[in-house]
Amino acid sequence: MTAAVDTRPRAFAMPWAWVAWHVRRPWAARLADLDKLLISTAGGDRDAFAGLYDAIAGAVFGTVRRVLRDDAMAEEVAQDVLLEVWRTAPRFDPDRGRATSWILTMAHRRAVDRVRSEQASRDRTERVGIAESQPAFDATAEEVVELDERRRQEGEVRSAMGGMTDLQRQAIELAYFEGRTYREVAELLGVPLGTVKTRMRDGLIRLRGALGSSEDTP
Amino acid sequence: MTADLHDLAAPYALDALDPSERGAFEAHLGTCADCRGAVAALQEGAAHLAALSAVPPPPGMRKRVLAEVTVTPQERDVIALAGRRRPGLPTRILTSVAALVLLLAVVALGVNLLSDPTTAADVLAAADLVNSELTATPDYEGGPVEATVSFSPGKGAAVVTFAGLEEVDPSLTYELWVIGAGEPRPAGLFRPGGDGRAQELVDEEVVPGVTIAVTIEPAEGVDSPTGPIVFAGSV
Repeated sequence: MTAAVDTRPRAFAMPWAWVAWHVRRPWAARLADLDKLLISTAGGDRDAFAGLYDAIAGAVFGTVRRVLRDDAMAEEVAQDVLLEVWRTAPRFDPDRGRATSWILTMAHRRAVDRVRSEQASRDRTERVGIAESQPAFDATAEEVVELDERRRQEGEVRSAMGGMTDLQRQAIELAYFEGRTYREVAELLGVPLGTVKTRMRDGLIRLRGALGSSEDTP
Repeated sequence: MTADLHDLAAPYALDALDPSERGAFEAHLGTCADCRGAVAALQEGAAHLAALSAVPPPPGMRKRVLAEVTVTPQERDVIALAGRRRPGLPTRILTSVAALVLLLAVVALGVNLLSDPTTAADVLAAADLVNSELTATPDYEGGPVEATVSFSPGKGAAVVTFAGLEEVDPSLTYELWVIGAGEPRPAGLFRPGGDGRAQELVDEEVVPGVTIAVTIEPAEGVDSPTGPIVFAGSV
């Protein structure tokens, strides 16, 4: 009773096996895949970069747009960031963090720098503020691929944010989505600087824990 | 002042420092491993916020970016142009072979000195044993099968046990893999006995959260998976 031997070319059989595995640990697996794509990109592999683009461009553009609140400017900045990913991929060190984190950190940093330089010439005051701060979730996020998985992640992050105190959530949203410095956040919320720093830290730790962050990140 | 700087890890991860503080903190990061670790962890939390904001990127951006990429040099190339070339292939091969020989010698010595290899029985007798199910994937072509991974966090070791496992062609074998952050690591070959039973020590260090997977490979085994994954599960 010998099992039917799998005679398919194994290199081609492999992706389906990976798909099956992804179903089991979608988030962790996707993260590991992005690490691999970025490492291949660092070796000059343009196909790997195209794969990386497809996986992350939506998050890069969405993050930048959220901070900048201007589609045209967001497109310009997102495009710069993605090229920067290509250019500096050889610097990525998987022992020091995830590809997703590396790329989205770069995107967010660029967006915040841009918004602050724009601030000098434009008064954003009427467009920001706690009362108007959007919930941290975008209905349009549902349009992107891997809908079910994203919904699940979204649910996990949403519940992690739901589990935060109001102060933790407001501090994080004002800083991350509005591009405020922690000093501005402290002033807006009327709390001491030390409190803001602690709330930011506690909130981020909660977010990271919520998605079962990896065993292997230092 | 240093204590104050440590506290800036979270605002830094949120890009919520003003330029002068950011500069000071980045200088501090160069010398403080604790803060580097904290920042990496906190940035991962922040990245979850970013991932949530995903929207479909503007049409046409993909084409433009991929076109730009064909004419944009990477930093590595810039470094290479500046004269820091990698050693030629023969040198690299020789270096790798030398390193491998040295590694094998050290490992052989270590094994001799310790002469206390963990066995499947040791693991199964561990007090902290945790059993989890390995799931057959659609690529597994046999009948119902019971597949378990028994993991001892204390020993950092695991054993897989199968009942009702389909035989494989003599030219093939089942191969175990430990999948963590990097490439899957090969962790031993096995075949079921005539009764469809198999028990195998996972021949790699196992830490909580890794995935244990089984593929079908050529009988001599391979260094990185080529066949379909037929079982997978986390410990």
